[in-house]
Amino acid sequence: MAARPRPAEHRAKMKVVIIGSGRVGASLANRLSKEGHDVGIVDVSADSFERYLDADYTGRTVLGDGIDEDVLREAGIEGADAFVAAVHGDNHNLMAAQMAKVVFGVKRVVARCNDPVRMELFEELGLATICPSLLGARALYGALMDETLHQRDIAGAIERLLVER
Amino acid sequence: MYIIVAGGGKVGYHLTKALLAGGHEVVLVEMNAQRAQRIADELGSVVIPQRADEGRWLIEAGVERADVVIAATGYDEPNLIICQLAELLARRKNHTLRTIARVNHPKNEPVLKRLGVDATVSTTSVILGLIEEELSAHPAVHLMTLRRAGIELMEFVIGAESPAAGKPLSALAIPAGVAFPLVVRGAETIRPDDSTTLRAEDAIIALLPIDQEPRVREALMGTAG
Repeated sequence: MAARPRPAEHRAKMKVVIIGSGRVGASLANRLSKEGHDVGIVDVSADSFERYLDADYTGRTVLGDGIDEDVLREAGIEGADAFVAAVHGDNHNLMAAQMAKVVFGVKRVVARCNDPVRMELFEELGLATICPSLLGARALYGALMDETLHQRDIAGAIERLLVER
Repeated sequence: MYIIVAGGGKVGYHLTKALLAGGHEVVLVEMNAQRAQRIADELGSVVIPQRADEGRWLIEAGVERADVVIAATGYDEPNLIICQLAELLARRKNHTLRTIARVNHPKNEPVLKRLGVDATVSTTSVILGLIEEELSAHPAVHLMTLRRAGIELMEFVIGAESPAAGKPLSALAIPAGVAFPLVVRGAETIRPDDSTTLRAEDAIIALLPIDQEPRVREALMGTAG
């Protein structure tokens, strides 16, 4: 029988700390929480928890600075399996990600970094980075070059985008 | 020396001015165009009006041949990233430089050192150190940390009750790797050797591995704390 990718719910449960409860960080937190992972999310604004976290989010929310060791501890970084730095500032993310790796020994660490040059350099340090601007450009390029997409009427294309999201 | 200063706030500006006056070659990178212009009007064409946390401007500033990069912005995250970027960019060209970061939040000082910044200067810690020096008759003062070498430079003032008072250096339980380049006794400076006997009120300058600080403190001051 051909091996199929296992559904998300069957993956090992992880303890994850996320900093930044904006659209990106909170969406990730919502998803991980739904999948049953142990999630802690950090943000400087309580408003961002209210605004972006789902009503059925079951993880911790911690108010504070993502590069403050005490705040990270409160969010559960000690013994965490993974750490995601998803605030708006690249420098903040890169510093927090390194703290998670070096100070707290977290194995899986991913940082959001908008500047491709900084990203490239930090990958040299062994940090996994995601560059939303490059991903965005790639997605836009894909959409631009996708012939089938442009043969459809606008309404159809919008519908497709909505379904695929 | 060729020095790049990142951040032209009060600290960066005065630093640049002092370094130029000291005959060094200095480039200041300041992202606020107005501030950059104001400083350039006064100090000449030594200012790059760009962000120092973007690699290309560090390259433009000459990071591939600089001796020292000083990250002096008012925020600790960019200061860390600037030092690391400088280090990485220099390494690509097989060039080595020293990085110094201004630390604004004292909590971040050990973190920045742990993450590879050669030396950190924490304004808060400096002022605390000065206060300790003023308030305590027999202080132990951190003068400088050389992260890459893993050593720090400290000054200990020997009190009358100190276990070291009246003893030659050779009689003290000093861990390996610790050096005492200088003893200041009143107005006199002494290059100590094993036979030098310490007196109360002597200020002894010590070069020590960072992790040996409690043991050196214990030997000289009688308390590890």
